[in-house]
Amino acid sequence: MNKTWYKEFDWLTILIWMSITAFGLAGIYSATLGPVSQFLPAHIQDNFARQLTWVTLSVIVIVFIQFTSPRSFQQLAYLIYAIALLLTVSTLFFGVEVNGARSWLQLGGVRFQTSEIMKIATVLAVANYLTSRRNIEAVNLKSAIIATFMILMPVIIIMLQNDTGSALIFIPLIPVMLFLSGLPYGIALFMISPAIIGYLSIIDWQYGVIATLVLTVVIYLLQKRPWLGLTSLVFGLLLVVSVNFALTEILQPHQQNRIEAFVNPFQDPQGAGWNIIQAKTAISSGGIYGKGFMQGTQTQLRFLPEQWTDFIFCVIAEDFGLVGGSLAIMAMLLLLMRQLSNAVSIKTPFAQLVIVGVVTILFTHILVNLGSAMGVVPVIGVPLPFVSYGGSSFLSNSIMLAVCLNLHFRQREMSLFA
Amino acid sequence: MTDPAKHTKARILIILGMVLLLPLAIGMQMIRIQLFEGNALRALWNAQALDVIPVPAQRGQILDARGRIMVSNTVTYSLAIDPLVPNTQPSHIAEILDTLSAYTGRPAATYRSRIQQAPRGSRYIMLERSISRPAYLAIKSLRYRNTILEEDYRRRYNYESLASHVLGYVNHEARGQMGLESEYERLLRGTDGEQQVQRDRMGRIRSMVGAPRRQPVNGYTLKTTIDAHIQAIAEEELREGVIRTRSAYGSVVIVDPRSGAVRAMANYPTFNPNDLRADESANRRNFAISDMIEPGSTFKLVTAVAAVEQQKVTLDEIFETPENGVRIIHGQAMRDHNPLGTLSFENAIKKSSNIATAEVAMRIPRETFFQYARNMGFGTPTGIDLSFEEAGRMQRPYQWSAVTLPWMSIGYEVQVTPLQMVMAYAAFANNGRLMRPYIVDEILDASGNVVEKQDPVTIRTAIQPETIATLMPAFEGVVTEDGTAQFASIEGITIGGKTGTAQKFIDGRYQTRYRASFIGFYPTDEPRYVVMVLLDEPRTSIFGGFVSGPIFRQITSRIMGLDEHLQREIVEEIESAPLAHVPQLRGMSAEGAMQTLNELGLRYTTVGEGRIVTEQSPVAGPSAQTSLRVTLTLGEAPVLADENTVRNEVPELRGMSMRQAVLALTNAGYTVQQIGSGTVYAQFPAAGAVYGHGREVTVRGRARSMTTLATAQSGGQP
Repeated sequence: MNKTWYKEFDWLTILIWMSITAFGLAGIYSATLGPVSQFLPAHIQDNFARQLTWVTLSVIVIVFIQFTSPRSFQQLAYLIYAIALLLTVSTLFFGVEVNGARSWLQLGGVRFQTSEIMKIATVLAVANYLTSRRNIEAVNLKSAIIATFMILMPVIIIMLQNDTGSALIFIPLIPVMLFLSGLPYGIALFMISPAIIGYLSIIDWQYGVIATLVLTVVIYLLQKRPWLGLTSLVFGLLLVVSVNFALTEILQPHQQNRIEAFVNPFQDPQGAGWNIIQAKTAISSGGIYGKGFMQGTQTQLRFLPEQWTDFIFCVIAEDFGLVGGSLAIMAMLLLLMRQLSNAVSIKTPFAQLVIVGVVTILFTHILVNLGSAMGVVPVIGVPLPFVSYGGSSFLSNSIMLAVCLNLHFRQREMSLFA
Repeated sequence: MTDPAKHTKARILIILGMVLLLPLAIGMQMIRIQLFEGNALRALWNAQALDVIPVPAQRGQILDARGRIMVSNTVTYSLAIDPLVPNTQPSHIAEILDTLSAYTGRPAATYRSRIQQAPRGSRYIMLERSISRPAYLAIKSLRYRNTILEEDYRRRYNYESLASHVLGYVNHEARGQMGLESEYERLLRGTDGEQQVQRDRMGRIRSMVGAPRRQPVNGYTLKTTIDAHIQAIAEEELREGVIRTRSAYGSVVIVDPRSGAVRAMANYPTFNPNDLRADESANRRNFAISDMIEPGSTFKLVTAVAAVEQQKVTLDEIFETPENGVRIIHGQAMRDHNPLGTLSFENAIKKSSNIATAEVAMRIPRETFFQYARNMGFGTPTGIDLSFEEAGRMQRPYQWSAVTLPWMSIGYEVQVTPLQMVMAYAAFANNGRLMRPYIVDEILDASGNVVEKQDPVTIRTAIQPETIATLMPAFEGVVTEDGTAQFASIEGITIGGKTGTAQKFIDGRYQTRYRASFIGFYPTDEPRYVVMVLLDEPRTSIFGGFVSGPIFRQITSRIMGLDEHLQREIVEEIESAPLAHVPQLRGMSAEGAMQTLNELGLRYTTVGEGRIVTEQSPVAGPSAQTSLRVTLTLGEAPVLADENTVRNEVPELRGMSMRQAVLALTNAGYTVQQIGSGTVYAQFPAAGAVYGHGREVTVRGRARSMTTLATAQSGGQP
């Protein structure tokens, strides 16, 4: 390490990370140790202390990772992926069930969510694979299919763990990482089009049809291949039909309720719509400047569900208002943008892919979590990175960030020996 | 694909661009929630989390005319406990119970068992309904969430049953049920304040510091025209009178005729509004305004006024009444209480001749008579500010029978409330102006400012002043030795008034049960008081002058001690007037007795000759009148008396009118048990029997109805 190492290190990212963590700790404190604590069992009240422990541990891990060579990530990528897969599979059999999901592995006194390790492991492995297969052309999709399979493997296993939320987080990796590796624009758009069409079809089938038509036109204009355009159109329309069919015929009543609650929460305000209504009410109750730390009534009177994890943003928005909530979002956004700009400056494809993969995962978390809290996405139950209570999540997100920092900090080592 | 690095950079920038869409979408949604859905969501929040609980306003006080607080409030604190509040430790409850038992002196175990015996899941277990303020503050300072401390205002009637019929009472929700409490409910109640509280998801109250609170507006204070002193006098004398005469019940109303202000309104039996269960609920009836009665002779005022004003009669016109005291009018017999012979109209009023009054009345056209009665307030509510006032009942002239006018002229076939009667006499005493009676003089707000002042309301001029000037001597004459109300007279003050003895009409016929009343006003030159005493079914005598008169006199003489205007007149007119106390003279030497009487300034006459006083009239006691001449019967006969008992011979009563008999017995120191009326035909003990002073002599009179004849025959002479 040279003498001016501190000039190479990305202190801004650390600063942003610290401020987001501070937001998170304030939110958890307010949500578990504020006046509301009288309604909460003791083990929930300990959440703040536990989170503090995990933050400390994460700091140590972040520092530790800065001492490893960036090349080792590439060298160990498949090994890590294999170990992580093994752990995730073994969780299926030996895991501890929490809230209906068998996604926790008990190691000594510590419980760990194996899907969290899977995230960085998958990103590293796929990045390593795609680095060795540069420039995926539209005619040669073999590499793309293999990469897709590598991402879908953990998705399936985590689905089997009955943790749909965590599984869904991996899906966006497919179009984004392939896109960065040279997947043609049209095909990339085609790959993300089901998400857009599906989302709009849930709200209204007519929106789905419109989205299908628009996307088909754009894909055709980008790629100029009639078969792709036709596939897109047929596939899109089929999706609209199947979504509507699934909504009415296939989904279990409780799942239907959840979707219905998302579309129209006031249909059943005491039941399925409760979470969304209370979350939105919390945000609106905060107003512009908020009610003040630990003064948020939705939080303190225990109207909010899961207020230290899934709906922690509502706590922040209620206590600190539109201003505080916006600041928190800005900080998270700044963190992601900083990583992407770092990725641009690094010339190593592997590093770029890893950073973009990490950003994708964090972005998906933020999007789904905030979307749930504000009622624009069905409630899925995904933590807000660095903010929500959750040890393994915080640690794994910190590790991912630490890897990004490392790739940026020690980029010369990569380029020299690549 | 010229430069892969540049190529990748472009793609990263596209991803960056998509990331930048995030704040746009999220920001838009946040603003949407704030601005567009905000109000609806905040309304929902208010509905689910905000609630208001009332903060009770303190009910207004009721004061008497001199500002004495007659009705106020006490605050009681109650303590309940909710043992299911989360995080409640057994030590918390122990601390609360120990604190409570330290103040109440009851062992904490009592309260603990109360908690244990409560139904499972109870969240409101009352520990103590009434705890002291220090206990309340001590427990409040513990600040445990599971304590439920409540403040409760309770009505307190400071003088217990005093003026209870006027004040009324409140129910368990502190809502007025009778009297002023009910009539002025809205003003007394005030406006409850509100405390905003927050309820959590389970609906539990969680008050937050700084939550909005609207202070309660305490009720208005009523300053009444009632004088607690006069009221107390009225109640005390009424109670004694009712007990002495063994009446069913009685009422006293005292009104200032100049304004209509009610100075006192008493009924006996009464009730204690502080403890409603202690007395029968029937006692709560305010007879003075709720009873519709046939007034009897007191109603002759209307006849007298109408006849004089219509120039149908003059005071000195002479009337011949039949020797037997009975005249048949349209087939119905009208009687005087005893035959009165030939008498002037003035004497007809003084001695209360039914026959003469009816004769005068029949000279007046029905409509005119009716109009006079209406003008004097009969048949319509007086408009007093008390609940449950009756209007009385007076048939219209076209509904009248041939005998209605003569009978109405003596107070039958018409139903009035005692208060209406009082107000009619008040009009007579007030230069003819009929006033609206009222009790609330001023309405004060919580800081004592006068919100509303009741000015006296003149309803109409019902009687011409000349008529009053003409009639006044006749009504003054009632309260003289030859009037029917000599027992109401007091030395040193001129009193006008009228007695009334009315047979009760029950179950379709007139019974041998009576109402005896006396209405008086004084001083007659400028009346300040109208006092009505009404007794229902007195048993010692039926005559208003005998049973109600003494009550009136007692009340009046005590009011004279209070009212400086009346006192001045006494001082001016009879400086040396001693208290009306006749010493025991029987058995004294004649000289000693005369000396004693001279010292006391009492006039006397002697009857017979001898060295020893064998008889005295009136007998010893405070009830005698100073104006009376003491008659001493002298003789040599040894006095049949020991130290404790004075004995007398029972006089011969048979053949006397009932009125004369009662007078004779009362003067001889006996109490009278009167059965029937009219002429005495039987007595017990028989004349000449030596009988202890104060014991009861029963006299039977031949009544004017056939029913008493039967009673008399079955009773027989002992």
